[in-house]
Amino acid sequence: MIEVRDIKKVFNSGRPNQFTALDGVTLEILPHETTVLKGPSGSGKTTLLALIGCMSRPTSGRIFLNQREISSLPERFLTGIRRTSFGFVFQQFNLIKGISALENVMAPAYPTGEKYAALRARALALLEMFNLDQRADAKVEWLSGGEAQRVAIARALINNPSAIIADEPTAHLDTTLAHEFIALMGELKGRGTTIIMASHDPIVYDSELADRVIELRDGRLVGGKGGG
Amino acid sequence: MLSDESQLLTSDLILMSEADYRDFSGIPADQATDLALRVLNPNEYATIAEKITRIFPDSRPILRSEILRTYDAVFGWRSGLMIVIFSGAALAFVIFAWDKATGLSAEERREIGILKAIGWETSDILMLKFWEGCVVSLSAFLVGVMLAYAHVFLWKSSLFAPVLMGWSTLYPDFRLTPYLDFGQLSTLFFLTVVPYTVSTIVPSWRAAVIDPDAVMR
Repeated sequence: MIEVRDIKKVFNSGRPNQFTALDGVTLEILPHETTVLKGPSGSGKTTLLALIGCMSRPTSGRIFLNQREISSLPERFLTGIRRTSFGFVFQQFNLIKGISALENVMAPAYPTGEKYAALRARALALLEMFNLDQRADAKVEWLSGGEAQRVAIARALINNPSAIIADEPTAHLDTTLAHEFIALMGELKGRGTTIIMASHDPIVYDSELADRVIELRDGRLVGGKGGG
Repeated sequence: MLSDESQLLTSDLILMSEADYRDFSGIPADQATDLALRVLNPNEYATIAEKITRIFPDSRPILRSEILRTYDAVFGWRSGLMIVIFSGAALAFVIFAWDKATGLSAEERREIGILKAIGWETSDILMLKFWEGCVVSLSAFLVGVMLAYAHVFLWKSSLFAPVLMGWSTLYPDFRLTPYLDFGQLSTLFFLTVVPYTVSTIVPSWRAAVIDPDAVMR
């Protein structure tokens, strides 16, 4: 379980362009559920995802992961938690150009020191799961939008994370591919993966996948559906 | 009479006694092609040359200093050409290394941001960039050394030989013995591979300390 307590995040603190992205946000994210953060651009969805995913620290407030406070941990420990507990699917997919789909999927696991053959086998199994085994050796710039997104999801799963964090995952997909993405997330949820997404796409927050929708506006919670 | 090592300078030279030469060429005993004149007082050189020109208008006195100046100009031009070529190569290396040292491209920054976001530590990225720099610079060094070796010992320095071997009409048969100077090689290694590797690390370190959430913004 992820618990966020009275989180505040201020960018450019003390400067003329100071900006408060999150202001006193408190929420709980239950395991094995899908939580969707909904709200307009600039409402603080991505900032909240980054804080939950140990990519940055809050200006004030605390974040707990399975009752362990993680918001005050040093960078090294945050990286370790990020690597083992979360898989990220970014808005722009953020695949590394110039290398193959397979190498992109393997990339998050390289620092773990796992044996190459075993890692490659796991990455190929993931690509096969997403019907991409034929495209394993293709450079990512040759992939279609849907294929690139599936590679990004496979990459997010390579370290067997307990939670997937996706930021505006359908922003660059057409309706068919967006529904395909929702179906893939549904499969992952069925396997017990916690899913946290930020989106202002009705296909995402109105889908049956979303157990809980939390609405943000101007860095504050304004309501939503589901329990909690 | 002349050692093999001197063939670069003496390949078109035949040494024989004066009598043999006169016999060989048919020049009478009272004639000569060149006369060497020794003057004890160096201050008198120019005056004596002037007097010779006045007495024998068809002659052309050449002072030792003039010969030295001519050689200096000829060989200075050759070394100058080599310096220009070397400077070009050195400048290309410096520009390449400087380009690496002063900053990363937007694409490289993006890559580092992605790697941080997906769970790489700053030290992992620095290690990657270190090995990347090592592979690029070591490969370039080894390829350069092998090409240089092949150029000199297999292709007889075809690029530089016309400049270095002079204007002689009888070119010597120029066979170089394969030889590697490990002192020179290690100097070249430390002047190229090490600076290049270091120059790739510094900007990567600056990019690798960015917050991992930068790619999400």
